[in-house]
Amino acid sequence: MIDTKRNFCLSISTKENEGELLGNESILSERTTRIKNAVAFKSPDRVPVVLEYAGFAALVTGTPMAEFLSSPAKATQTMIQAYKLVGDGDAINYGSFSSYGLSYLFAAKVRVPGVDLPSDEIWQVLESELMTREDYDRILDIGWVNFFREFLTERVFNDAEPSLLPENQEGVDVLGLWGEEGVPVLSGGDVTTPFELLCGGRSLEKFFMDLIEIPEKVVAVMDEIVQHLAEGAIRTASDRGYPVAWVGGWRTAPSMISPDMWERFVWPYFRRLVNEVLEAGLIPLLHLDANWERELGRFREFPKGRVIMALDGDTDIFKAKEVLGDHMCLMGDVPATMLAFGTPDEVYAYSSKLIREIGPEGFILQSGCDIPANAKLENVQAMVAAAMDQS
Amino acid sequence: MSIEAIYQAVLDYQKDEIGGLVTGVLENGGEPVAILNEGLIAPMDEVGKRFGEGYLFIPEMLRAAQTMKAGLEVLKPLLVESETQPRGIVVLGTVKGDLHDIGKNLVKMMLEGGGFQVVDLGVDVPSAKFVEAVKENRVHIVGLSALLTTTMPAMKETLEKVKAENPAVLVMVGGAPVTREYAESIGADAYAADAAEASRHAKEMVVQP
Repeated sequence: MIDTKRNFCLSISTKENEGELLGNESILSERTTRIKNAVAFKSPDRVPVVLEYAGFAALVTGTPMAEFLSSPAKATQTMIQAYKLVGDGDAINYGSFSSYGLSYLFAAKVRVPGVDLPSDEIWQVLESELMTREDYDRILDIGWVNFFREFLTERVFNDAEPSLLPENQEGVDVLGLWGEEGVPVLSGGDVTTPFELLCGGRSLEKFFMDLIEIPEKVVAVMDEIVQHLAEGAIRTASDRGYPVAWVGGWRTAPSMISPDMWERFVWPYFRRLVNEVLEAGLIPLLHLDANWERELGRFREFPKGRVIMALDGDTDIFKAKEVLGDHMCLMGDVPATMLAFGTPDEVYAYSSKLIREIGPEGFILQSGCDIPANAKLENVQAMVAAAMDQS
Repeated sequence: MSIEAIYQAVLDYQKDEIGGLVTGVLENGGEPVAILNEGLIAPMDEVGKRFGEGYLFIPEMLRAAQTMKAGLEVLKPLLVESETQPRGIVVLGTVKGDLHDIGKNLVKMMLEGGGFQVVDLGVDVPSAKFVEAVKENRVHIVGLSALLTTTMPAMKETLEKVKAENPAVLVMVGGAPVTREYAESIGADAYAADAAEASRHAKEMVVQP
């Protein structure tokens, strides 16, 4: 059995000594370079490991979920505290969290602990039909920007807790706070496709019927929406100095819809968003939940060594390696269920297997999607230890 | 107009036409139970098979289920009159603390399409409510859904309480983070990765007399 504490402590004390000599700026630079080398298929000194979490920070630090979500400053501080408990990691995927921020990606209400849920429960996106079929014409009439602003105000945030809305909260220097700890933050701006927004706003059942019954209307609306999506994410990431813009897909997974539908309603828009991020000089981090196996080959359309594909365990990462292993940096995919219910040995063994078989070039070790809120600390440490033990 | 035409209408997603086709067959002396089994349930079995093989996807499955339901609406009063029994009774719900229901709703659609009666308890369902539903209905299967690792433990608790109430009830589990291994570890009788698999398992689990 591996002794993650022992392995880890050695690793931490080494870094602490280095910190005294080199300073966190130097560690920050070293970690950033390691990640960029992994993306660019330059041989990194070792496979980097990135941590992605939100709710885990609350549970592992003993912070009530409602308190964690009370402000960006609190969320960031708690996430940094959690990082220190884990002990190491080459970067944090995103450096702060806002529950209502999810509404901008899902076009849906979010149920929030301390407001709609008991204060210790995790937030949840609520599936409901907030957008009607008639709204398609309204979007074409007044434009997406005006419609979405009106939609969020009147239908999504109408019963939200005002103090938690992003516009009412004081911003925080996320990059700076993490930088003081020597930890790079990858993602600075988030964007998703018109499909995800409409699917969230209409509800899956209604939207999927729209795809069958009024496809031309849906395409016209998607064509209007896509023009306005990437700009905000790019500006946020570029202005603040983040290297990465997050481009997410979950219901756009090829396993959900037929090849014809995916070709018509997903790929042209997804591809456009990724290219816009690339043209801005940023690294697109493609956060792909569910199963994308059928269309993995399409991602070779993007330039080699410029994009990260993050998988959540539903897509077979070993198949992704076969199709994209010489072209696109893969990230993932230690399963949430293993991190929550498995043992450190299982996590260490699987993480090591990923490093061996998906790496060493063009690979970043990470959980598949978020480290779940109820992940065991020792399991997360085992994942990190597998990366650190390479050196 | 024939039962074969009704069968094909489901596969062709003719939601607006199927009611007329069912009425036509009834007027020509067609038996409601035969229309149900051969014209409505049978094509849904085919839809499930095609979904499992990767020829159909969720939009088509939804559309077929809606079409089948439109045909069933015409038959329902006649089936009630003839006391036709469902294939089986399934209690479905998303476990306590979990508000997600898309997967559960797709399973419900496929089970109803397959001739099952579904008692849908909704979301955030405490184990006591599942137990109550098992007491009140002659339940064959309890289906549990969870979309969060934080709510998955409620599956084990619910399973144990349901089986304590009625050991004959079978428990099937599913949901994005749920794995076959997890299902086995908590003693579930079946695991379904998607709605079509849930429907297939349910048919195997409930043996027709």
